[in-house]
Amino acid sequence: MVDALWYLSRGTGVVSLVLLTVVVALGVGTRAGRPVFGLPRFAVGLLHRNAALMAVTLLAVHVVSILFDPYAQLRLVDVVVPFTAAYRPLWLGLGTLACELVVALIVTSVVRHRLGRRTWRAVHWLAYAAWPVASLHALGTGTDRGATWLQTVAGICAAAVAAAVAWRVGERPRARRAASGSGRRGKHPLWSRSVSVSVRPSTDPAVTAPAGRNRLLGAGATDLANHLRRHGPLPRFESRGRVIAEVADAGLTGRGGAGFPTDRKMAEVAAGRNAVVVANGAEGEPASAKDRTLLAYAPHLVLDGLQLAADAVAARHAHIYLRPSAVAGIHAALAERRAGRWDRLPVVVHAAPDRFVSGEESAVVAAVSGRQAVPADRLRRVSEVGVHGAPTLVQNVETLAHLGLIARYGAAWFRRQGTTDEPGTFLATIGGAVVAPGVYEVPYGIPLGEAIALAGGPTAPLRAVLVGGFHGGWVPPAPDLPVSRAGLARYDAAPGAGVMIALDATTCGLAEAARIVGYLAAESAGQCGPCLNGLPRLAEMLAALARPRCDSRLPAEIDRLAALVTGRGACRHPDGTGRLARSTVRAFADDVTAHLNGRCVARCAR
Amino acid sequence: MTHSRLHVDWTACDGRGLCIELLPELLAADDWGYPVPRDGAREPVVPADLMPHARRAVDQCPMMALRLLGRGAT
Repeated sequence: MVDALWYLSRGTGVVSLVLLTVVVALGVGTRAGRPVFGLPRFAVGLLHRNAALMAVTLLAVHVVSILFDPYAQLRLVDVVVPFTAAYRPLWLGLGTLACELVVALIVTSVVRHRLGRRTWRAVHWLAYAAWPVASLHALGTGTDRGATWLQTVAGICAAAVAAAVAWRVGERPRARRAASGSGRRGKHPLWSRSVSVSVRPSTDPAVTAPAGRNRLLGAGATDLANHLRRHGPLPRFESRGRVIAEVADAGLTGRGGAGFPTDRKMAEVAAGRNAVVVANGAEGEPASAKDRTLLAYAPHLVLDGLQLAADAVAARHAHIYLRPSAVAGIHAALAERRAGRWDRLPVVVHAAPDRFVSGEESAVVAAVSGRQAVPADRLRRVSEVGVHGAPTLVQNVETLAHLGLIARYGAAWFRRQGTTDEPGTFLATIGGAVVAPGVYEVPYGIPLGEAIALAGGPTAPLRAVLVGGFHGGWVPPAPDLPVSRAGLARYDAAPGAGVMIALDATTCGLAEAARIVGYLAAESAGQCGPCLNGLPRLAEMLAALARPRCDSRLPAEIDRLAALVTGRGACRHPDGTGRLARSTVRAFADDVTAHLNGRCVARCAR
Repeated sequence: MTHSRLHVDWTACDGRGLCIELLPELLAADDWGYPVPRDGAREPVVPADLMPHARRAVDQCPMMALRLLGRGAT
């Protein structure tokens, strides 16, 4: 009987080491993402899991049997606290340690869906410590120490793990996730050169509702005194709901690009408690200059809107998130307001990294929460769970500036510009082949020709206009085309954040689009596989299409890839990039045909 | 009547492909081994008869990138 315990302990010890080796080898091997021994990957996963459960069962028998073995004379404390036993403390201690590591691995794996991915994975790395410790324990203690057969078993185990690691290292060549979203940085396309700002200062200093189109920029009040002289103080509202109702009547929509109704977002956030409001002026789009222009010319309108929005949703905290170049200006404006005790809530200023995706809503929330400014997976809306878990209202700075005016002059005044369905004005960054590129305030529905004329007219006959920025779509340079969601819908385009880029007839649209998509591919945060792998492929194919005598299968392949990446990311960066790629193939169908035949339309037009 | 939808956390998904093996009716592999919903939806609806398989896929995803949303999710 006494010997039986001793044999049992030795046997289960060795077998559990072998099983642990199998578990580690399968765990390492499965990470390569290739089938192992022709088994389906889920079967490898199951084998890994079941072998681990079997190993821990044998381990329990191993420990209990040695505990009751009269020869080793171990106390309970010896098998719980490592290196305390009187009998071979070091080698036994290693066993205790390995056992505890294995138990930690198993327990965290069983409850991993409760623990969350990060914690579970962090603990799971302990496997790389548990296995060598267990091996050392096996080699260094027990009756079989030094026995050839044991050394052979240990050698085979080590070889198995080494083979698994080699298999893992030689994995398929596929773009891996960027370590921290940094690293590669997109090179701005030609069009992103700095845009000059043309603003006509208002000549009327009295407090009256702005009559013309220049509502936001026309005031030109950079300091608080002038701002108050021009617009007067913010009116008080009898109830919070009143502000949201006024916004709903005005039909204000988000000016950051998505165009979501502002009142609905505000109502969602107002329904929660301890809300947070963030003014978003990150303006990651290099072709856009409207947010920085607005912040330079009318910072107090934005800050008025921020306070109004904060009041409307009963926010506890207010933040403003903007490009580093705008930080000093906003600090100065905030200091003026503090001196006059103007604001209910103090405003925390955050600098946004100069990256395309840093202005995306979940990236804004991450940045303001003190994390890296990259988009995150969302199971619940930011309006429910945002900054530090609080319901969060993220609004573009232009939207907030409009709010500052609506509060003073009312919904009916706001609707005097724009269309019935899309009321109000928006800040348009008009660039490309125009005489005076810059930021202009225009009403929704403005004919495209009129907008181009505002920017001094085209420098040459135009081929197309990219509307909505780098995530937008190409439209023909039709002078009568209304710049509104409704007007642009048939081109799968929208005003978005107000970017319009004119392309002259001597520039090849395919080449320009290839450059933009190349930039967008490099601007991927590198978190999501389809975006990380698909966007560079899309850019390569557009670049190939931009060369004469290209492969005739390219347009169809571009369409397929664009559809493939759409909807498969934490944010809409792949969707927007795919939209531009598809729009390019459609809008420049003539150029595609010419390129397939070894010619180029743009070059002929020169 | 609402159905369960399959949600992929793309920031977590590493294209290991277990879900594609366990739910071939709903998911296919893309050019790089990441799952693509066959119906093209962002979050494909899981028919009632596939729910056990979907739960298994969620349970076995090594990156914990899969989730069931809506009815019968838990």
